[in-house]
Amino acid sequence: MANTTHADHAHDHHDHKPHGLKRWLFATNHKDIGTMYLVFACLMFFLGGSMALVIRAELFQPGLQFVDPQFFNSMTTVHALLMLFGAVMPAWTGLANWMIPLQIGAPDMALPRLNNFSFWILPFAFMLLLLSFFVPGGGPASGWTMYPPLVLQMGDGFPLMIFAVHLMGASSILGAINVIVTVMNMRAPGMGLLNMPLFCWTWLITAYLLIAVMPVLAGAVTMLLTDHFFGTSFFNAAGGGDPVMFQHIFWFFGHPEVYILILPAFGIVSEIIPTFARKPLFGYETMVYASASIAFLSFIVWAHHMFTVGMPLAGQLFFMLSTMLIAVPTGVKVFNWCATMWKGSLTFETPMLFSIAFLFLFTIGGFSGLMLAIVPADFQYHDTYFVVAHFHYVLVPGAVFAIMAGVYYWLPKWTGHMYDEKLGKLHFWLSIIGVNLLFFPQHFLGLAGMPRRIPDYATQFADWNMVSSIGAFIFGFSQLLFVAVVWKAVRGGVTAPQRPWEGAHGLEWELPTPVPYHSWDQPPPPSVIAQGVTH
Amino acid sequence: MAEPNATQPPMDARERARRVRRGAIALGLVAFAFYVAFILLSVSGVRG
Repeated sequence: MANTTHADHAHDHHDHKPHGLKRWLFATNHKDIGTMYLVFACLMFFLGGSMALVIRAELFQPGLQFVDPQFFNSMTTVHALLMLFGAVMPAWTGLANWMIPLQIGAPDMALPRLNNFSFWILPFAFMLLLLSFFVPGGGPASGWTMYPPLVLQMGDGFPLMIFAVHLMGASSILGAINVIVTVMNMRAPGMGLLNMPLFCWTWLITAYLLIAVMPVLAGAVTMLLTDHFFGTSFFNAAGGGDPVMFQHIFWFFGHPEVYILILPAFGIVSEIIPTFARKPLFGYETMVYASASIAFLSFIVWAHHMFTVGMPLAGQLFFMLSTMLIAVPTGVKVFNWCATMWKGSLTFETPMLFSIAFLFLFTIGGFSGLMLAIVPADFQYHDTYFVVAHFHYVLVPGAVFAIMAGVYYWLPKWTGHMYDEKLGKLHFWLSIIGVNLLFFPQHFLGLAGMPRRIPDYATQFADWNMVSSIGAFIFGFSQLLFVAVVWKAVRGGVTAPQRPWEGAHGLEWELPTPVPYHSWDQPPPPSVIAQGVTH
Repeated sequence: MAEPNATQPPMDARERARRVRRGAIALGLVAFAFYVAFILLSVSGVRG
């Protein structure tokens, strides 16, 4: 059998790996770099999460309890930057590093040294960002959107934050270049683009989005830097500039960024649902076209974040309607996932539970997004907790749950051990109860008029804030279970078979478990590729 | 539905390395062009 031969071959000659610190510092192996990305993302997730707990502790009841308002604003700002650029994006890059070469039959990423470089930029970027807390003026407190003129009033931490954002952007761009050239050039002979698993497809589209929009963010923050230090007036009204222009540029980056965070989640869920439904994915090609349509539309909706700033009626209509249009390809996806499960032999292991939760809760986030797209309604909801509830429903039970689903799904393949299913399910149930207690009441708070980014509030908002904070602590602490499950599986446990999930298809499952350090050094033969392609 | 294409010839390693390098440089230039273009657009926006 081709895969057995490959396994023997791999174990005989190609399982040598460097040891000690050098293995990680000079890593060029896609699995090592993927692991480093995932560990880094996990650290940032807990750091950003602890900031969220500071926020929720402060908001547990009205009045100022624990932190002063300036520090509270720093917490909201840095929590967002850490979660977006430090946790979710690196987690996706980690999963891409681990899985894309395995899924397309490539021995590694196309540019392994660039891969190492793009990872090692990240720790320095976040060190700079966190260093800003210890300089006069304190950490960034302008919100992650960094709107001028507020952001220009920052203390000595300002250049540190700007440099950190530049570095995060550079890392993402280099990672994206690597993904594109890998997918376009390193696929095994016989693996056509429309044979690739959905995770590779959604990552390819994400990588193009990254190349297009991260430089726009870099341009925006470069202009902030020159406004602050070199006397330019890009965004300074007194000098003939326009602060609203920053908002346009920022959201031209910011809205596609949302899809950068969520498209790979679509890919992972499209892998997991067919596995545990024991049916091929319904409408593979429409999934690919829907992902591409979402990516395209994400470029023409940015000003829906700015309805209250003021714009012509034609502009409001255009951005409202284009935003609503995104519901069409997204609806196609949701329909396809439901159709895949329809009459399938469903089982509910932890990855499937997280995927189904993703399906329901991401859809709730999508619906509240549609509400926000309606201009007159947005005038009411803008800058309230309704917005906070909306994007957290998209990003937490959306992106974060999909990352966890992916880790549970591939963990046996990576470690060679089955994870503890009971603990995994406990983690899932605590997470889903916690996340809904945390974010659902924020819809009510927003509709009742509670503004976002404030450390104190009127007593009428007290009850739901208390519920939300209790949910935050349940969700936050239950994530320690996730670390425990992963740690346990890394250390040992029941040996995982080559294909731990009977419904799993794809090239990664044709490799031995755990995946050898060097895999697919000989491309898989077309018969093996055909076995993996079920759509 | 696309069938795996068994007739696709394997790419020569040197040719592949060349394509990878060329692709990476092209994408890097595209990213750099976006960076410069948005700054230039903003300059003209300020003047306008």
